[in-house]
Amino acid sequence: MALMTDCSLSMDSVGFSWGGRVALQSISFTPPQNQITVVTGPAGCGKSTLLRLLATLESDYRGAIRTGGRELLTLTRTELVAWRRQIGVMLNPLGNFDWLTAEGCLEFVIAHAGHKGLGGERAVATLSSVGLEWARGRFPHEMSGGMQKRLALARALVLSPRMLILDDPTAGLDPVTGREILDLIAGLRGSASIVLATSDTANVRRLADHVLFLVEGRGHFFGANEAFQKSDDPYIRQFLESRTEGPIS
Amino acid sequence: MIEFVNVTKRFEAQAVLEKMSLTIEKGEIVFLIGRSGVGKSVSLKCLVGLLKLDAGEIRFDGRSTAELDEKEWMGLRRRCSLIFQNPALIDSMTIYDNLALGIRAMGLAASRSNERGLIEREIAQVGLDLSLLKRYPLELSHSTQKRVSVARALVVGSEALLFDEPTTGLDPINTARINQLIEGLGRAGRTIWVVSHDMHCALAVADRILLLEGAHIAADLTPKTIRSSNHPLIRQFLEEADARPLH
Repeated sequence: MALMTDCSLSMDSVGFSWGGRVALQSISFTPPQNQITVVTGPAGCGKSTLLRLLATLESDYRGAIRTGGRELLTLTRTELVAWRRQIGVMLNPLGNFDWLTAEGCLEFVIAHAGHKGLGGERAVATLSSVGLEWARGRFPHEMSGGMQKRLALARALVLSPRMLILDDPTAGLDPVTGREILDLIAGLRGSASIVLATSDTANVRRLADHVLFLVEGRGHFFGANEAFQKSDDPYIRQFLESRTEGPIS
Repeated sequence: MIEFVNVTKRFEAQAVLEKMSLTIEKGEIVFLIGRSGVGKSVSLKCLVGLLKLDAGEIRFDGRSTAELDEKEWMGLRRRCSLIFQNPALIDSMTIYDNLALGIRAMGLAASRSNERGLIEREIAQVGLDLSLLKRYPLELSHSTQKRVSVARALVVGSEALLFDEPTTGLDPINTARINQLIEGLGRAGRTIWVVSHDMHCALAVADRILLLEGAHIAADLTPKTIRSSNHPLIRQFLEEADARPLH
């Protein structure tokens, strides 16, 4: 069945508002498959909102979000559940399960997806990949903010998803741990399509194949990372050069 | 002056801080760096009494915090404010009322006009417009909320400011604004203790940079001496910072 194998996503003239406030306007882009698309921009530009829409957590949007050519809102419940099992999501708030240990959180995700036999080994291996094997018996409230973030990332990775939607996976991590996480994500290129939001310009430079740059809820740039880094657009230059003066207020 | 003397803090069997000692002199800007989860934020929380020590002693201006009663703890927390990673403003109150809360609770203003004067001065000090005072926290960006949380510490006259990851999650423009604010507050004579991964800010602003590793202070350096450190973790932190050039 085509939908079970097609994990593509595209946005076509998508708009979204929180109450009376417009968060996104006329966003159109298609993240290339099995590559890394970084969504970036100044604070409040709509990065996290865009990821929530891609993760099907909001449905009251204008325009169209399609997978395999079909609008997400037209999927049946069964199709939507099957589609969601192919994507790994890490958003804010992190959504770790307070009543479960780190290992328990991952075993829960695995069992919920119907893979009961895989639980223990897969959970421990995934925790190890994010540097948390030593904390497998800890509850989220016993972890630092950075550790909780890594646990949330492990939850997104544990089912080997074909698409990853990640909201600032290295924010709050020390630079060495952050680099390890980035390398982990970069290693998935080719086997998963990754849409990642970050304001960290070094991470954009290092990781992105393509960049979607948002300003005040609008797509200001979408294209190859190399073109983004070399652009002489004043908004992009102010952002990349961390200048407090410029067209971005 | 802030002193940690052989401070130990455990979570169950694991010692996050073990016989950790450090001194921060009045007016110093000190950055505490280390791997994620190593206990940096724990040290700040121990200072303001949010966590109880398992052993050792913390002194603020020579007075042991173990001797403080509840009223004296309020006094310490007024003089030494912890600015959390999450701004923790009260959503149902305007920015003005958020800032006035501490002033009123501590009886710091002789009149409402005095109170307004305090608030307007510190909102300007953190680089925000007075028109924000009528707004509510959720109408503001995360970085603006962070600056309001700094103003909240300043209006009660805090001499020491403890920043827990002040620039985490901020875009580079607002990171630069917060770093400028920290530097300005330090130059104005306040004691500043920052837990941060922002090596660029540490190198530019700090008087000293401390490394927390293995539950104690493993290195105590200045921005000048840190580059000649052979500590492997410091070398890795510097390499990562150098790979992220500032323009």
